[in-house]
Amino acid sequence: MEILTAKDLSFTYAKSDVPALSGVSFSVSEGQFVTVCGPTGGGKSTLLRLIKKEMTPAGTTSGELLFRGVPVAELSLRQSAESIGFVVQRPEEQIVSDRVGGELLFGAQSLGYDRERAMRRAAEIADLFGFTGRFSDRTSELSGGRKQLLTLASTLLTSPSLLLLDEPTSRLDPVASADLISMLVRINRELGVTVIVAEHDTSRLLSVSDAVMFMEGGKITAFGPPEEVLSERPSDAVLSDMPTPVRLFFDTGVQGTCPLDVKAGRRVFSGYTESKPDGERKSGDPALQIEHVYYRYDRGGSDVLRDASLTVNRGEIRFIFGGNGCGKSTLLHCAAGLYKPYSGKVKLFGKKPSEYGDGELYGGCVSLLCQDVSGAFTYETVGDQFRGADLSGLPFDVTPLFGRHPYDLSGGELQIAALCLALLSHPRLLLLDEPTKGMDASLKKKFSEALSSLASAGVAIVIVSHDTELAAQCADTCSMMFDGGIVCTAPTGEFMRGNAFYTTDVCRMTGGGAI
Amino acid sequence: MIWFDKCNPFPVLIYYVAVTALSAVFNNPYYTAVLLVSAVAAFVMCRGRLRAALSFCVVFLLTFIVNPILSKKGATPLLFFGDSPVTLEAIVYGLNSAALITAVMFLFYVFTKTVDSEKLLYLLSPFSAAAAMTVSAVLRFAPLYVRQAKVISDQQKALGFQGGQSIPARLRSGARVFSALSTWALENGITAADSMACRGYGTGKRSFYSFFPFKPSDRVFIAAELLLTALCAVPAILFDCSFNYYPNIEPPAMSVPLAVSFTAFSLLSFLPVIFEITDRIKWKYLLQKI
Amino acid sequence: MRVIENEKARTAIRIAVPAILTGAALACAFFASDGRKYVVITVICALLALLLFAAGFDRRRIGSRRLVLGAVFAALAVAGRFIPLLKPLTALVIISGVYTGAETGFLVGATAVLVSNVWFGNGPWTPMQMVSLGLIGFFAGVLSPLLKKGLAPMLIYGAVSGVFYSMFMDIWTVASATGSVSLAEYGDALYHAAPFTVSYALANVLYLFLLAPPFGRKLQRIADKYGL
Repeated sequence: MEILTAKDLSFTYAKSDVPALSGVSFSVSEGQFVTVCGPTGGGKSTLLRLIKKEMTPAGTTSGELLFRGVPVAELSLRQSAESIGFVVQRPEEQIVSDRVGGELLFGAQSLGYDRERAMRRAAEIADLFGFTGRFSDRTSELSGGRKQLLTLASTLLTSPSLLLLDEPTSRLDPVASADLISMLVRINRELGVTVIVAEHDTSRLLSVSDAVMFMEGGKITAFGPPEEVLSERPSDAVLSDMPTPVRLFFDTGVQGTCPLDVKAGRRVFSGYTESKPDGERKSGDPALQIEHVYYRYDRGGSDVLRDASLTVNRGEIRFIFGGNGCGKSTLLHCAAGLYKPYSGKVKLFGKKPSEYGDGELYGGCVSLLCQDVSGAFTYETVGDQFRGADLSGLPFDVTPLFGRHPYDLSGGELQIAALCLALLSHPRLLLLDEPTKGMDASLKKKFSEALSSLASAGVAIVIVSHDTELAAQCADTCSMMFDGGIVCTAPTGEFMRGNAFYTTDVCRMTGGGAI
Repeated sequence: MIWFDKCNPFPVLIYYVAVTALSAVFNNPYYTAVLLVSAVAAFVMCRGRLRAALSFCVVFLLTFIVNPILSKKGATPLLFFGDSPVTLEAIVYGLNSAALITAVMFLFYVFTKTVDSEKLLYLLSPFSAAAAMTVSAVLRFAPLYVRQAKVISDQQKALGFQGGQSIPARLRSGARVFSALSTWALENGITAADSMACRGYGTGKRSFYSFFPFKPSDRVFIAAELLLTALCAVPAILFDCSFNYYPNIEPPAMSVPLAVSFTAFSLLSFLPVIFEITDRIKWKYLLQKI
Repeated sequence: MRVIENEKARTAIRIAVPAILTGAALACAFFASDGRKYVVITVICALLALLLFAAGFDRRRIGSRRLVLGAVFAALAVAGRFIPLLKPLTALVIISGVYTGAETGFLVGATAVLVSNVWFGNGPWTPMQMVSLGLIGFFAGVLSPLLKKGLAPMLIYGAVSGVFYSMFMDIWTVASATGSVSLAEYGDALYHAAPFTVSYALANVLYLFLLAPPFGRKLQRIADKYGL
């Protein structure tokens, strides 16, 4: 039985002439798990928003979109709220209550459920998600992954039969996104909820999906079970969003069926090797020296940095890996001189941050991009932010973005614009915190090339990230951080081969034969 | 004040309203003194901070000074301030008001410690669901914005966009951070609102579930405070028990109604302290049995 | 815990009870010849006014976006108090009243005070503060067509509301310190508080000057982008 049917569906945004969706037809059966993928601007998000009428943007729609045989636009708000759940990208934005209990029960309260019905459902959902006994916790104190799980739990409280998720893992680290996806699979299998996920990173989604939908330029280019769809080579734009086993399969031209995940990939690629330099320490003068640094946010708190030591030389690209909450971002703040450690030394090019004069430190010595780069933009257009700046030495051409508001940029464009802002002062040390969030594969490639050329010009670059693929492309050395300290540092190839989790999928499949 | 913490918020609210209203209406130094002692006792029991206590003492001194300076009433001038007299009556009155305000400050300190945001919402919900929803959202957003303001100002600093240390430069960069924060907040607000709509906000009457049950002890507390309030107020309404300050200080004559009213007020003020102590004893006894 | 099941009856009671009590309290204030109960009466009046507003507010369904927008403004006003040198509370209440309407303006003023006092200390003065800032937001909403005409009317309204806030809160100061509100004492208090009054008014003008134009643009952008 079909839960969702689209016939020749088209949509054009109010202030645009180009249709965002044109002539889309498909149907999803009850209980399916569907992954929608494709490049930014391909129409994934628009499609999801058309299915949920509360989220539908202003514009003109033509064609048919039926939810259980009823046109979506004709559903009452109550029906739509009750039977279709929607989870957006950023969990931080979706939470409206200051306590877990209030957030969880929000939907039930809005729909006027009586106490017994609401609490019965809440008890079940809270047990499933591990929120039992946590109702009076503050939502602000949850980690990003828990916040996303809370949004999901809250959406499920009214027992929707269709769940839509718009890039739910794009803000999460690998561990948290794996948690979220395994929860989605449970919801799909155990509760029978139909799930449609739009996502860039499909590495964990492909093997659990009943169907994948490729969207490009507002059209569906392929739709069906993953094995079937991947029986022939997809377009390059789609392929770049596919998990590594799929990419490697089509790139190397190995015979057989396409492996969908690392487990299947191991069978296919176990003997595969590829020679690539390991990366090495650059022998330039030290740019950043962190020696036995201790830091905590307040006197009564516990140490966030504990005996952390790190040396990065000029021209070196260093990646730092580690779980959430291990102190990576704090380390960068200390390196930039924003936080002052209570013990230990930080030296930038041989001098302490405090020894630099007013405007000297951040005017040519060091630049830091924090995790949430939107904080870099304080004007109403990107152009205003760059006003009067010399754009000649920048690795990307940002002028096409000048007329736009920072919040209208895609995640990748925002990162690129922020990187250019950070380079305006020509820093000799560049510190980046998760710089590839929201970038699709092709942009990521250009980004890594830009970093390499900066490094060859002598800039030292320290990147805190979860992106092992990016590290394999451009890092010289990698460090592992744990519990407030750096536990190991090694050249990239050696580092990847020695790790089981913080390593690339290629390395996992080939047992270290390639990285 | 564990007992007070675990109590249903409604009787707690009634307690505060009752004692502050009664003592303000009576405006009698004896009543005020009792209230002050009970408030300090509650303050000590909830482990109030010494710094807060010291700041309340400053408030006491300031309020004490204001009345004799402002008020020209009273028949017994003690000294002259320029050509305006400072009277004994005005000083006594000032002492009473200062003690009353200080007592209320102590009480509200305890109130803020016991009635957290969750309880505040519970108290607000029966009156207005929309207002309660707004307060809940503000309680969630405000700390988030404070944190985001720090993130933005750190980021601005790390890119070298922050000006010097002079006051106009700091004001300008403060305004810039605030402007960026507002854009961020408005943008996120729309997403939050859409997510509320997605979960059915505004489709009908909103229901409300309380996580604060009425325990038997809460009923005892409510009954006790209502009874004591009545015992305190009724004799004072029927018989004239008012304390006159001007033109001469005239305490009310001692009488049975006044004694009843005063005793009831004292018991009422100390009610939380009494309950706390009995609760502590009860637990000690319970623990021995376990 | 629903004592009265009938929806209409409950709404009627919620509106009628504070309304009648407000009248009663005001009558008491007039007839209480010894003039000693002013503190209680001012606080009670303020509380009842808030209840009355809350009950009325609930009757009108406001959409999630307007409600959240109000919450965002109130939270910004609270958060602004933590940024050094910036005290934009009144300015933001005025802006929110102008752009989101009278009721939301009242709500923003009242909740901003209530929530920021969770950090800065609640007290018996809280209801008075809530009412006065609420009214500032409310009248900003009522006068919105006029205030939207340009920056000058907005700045004048900011100065006037600074004076109003100070005068309104002085009723509380006088009532709580001297126990009665005679015109002479009130005048005296106003005289003593004049420097504060002027600083309130100037601060409002300054922050409105800094914030009103960018906020107008920001809200316009949001309206264009999301089709409010």
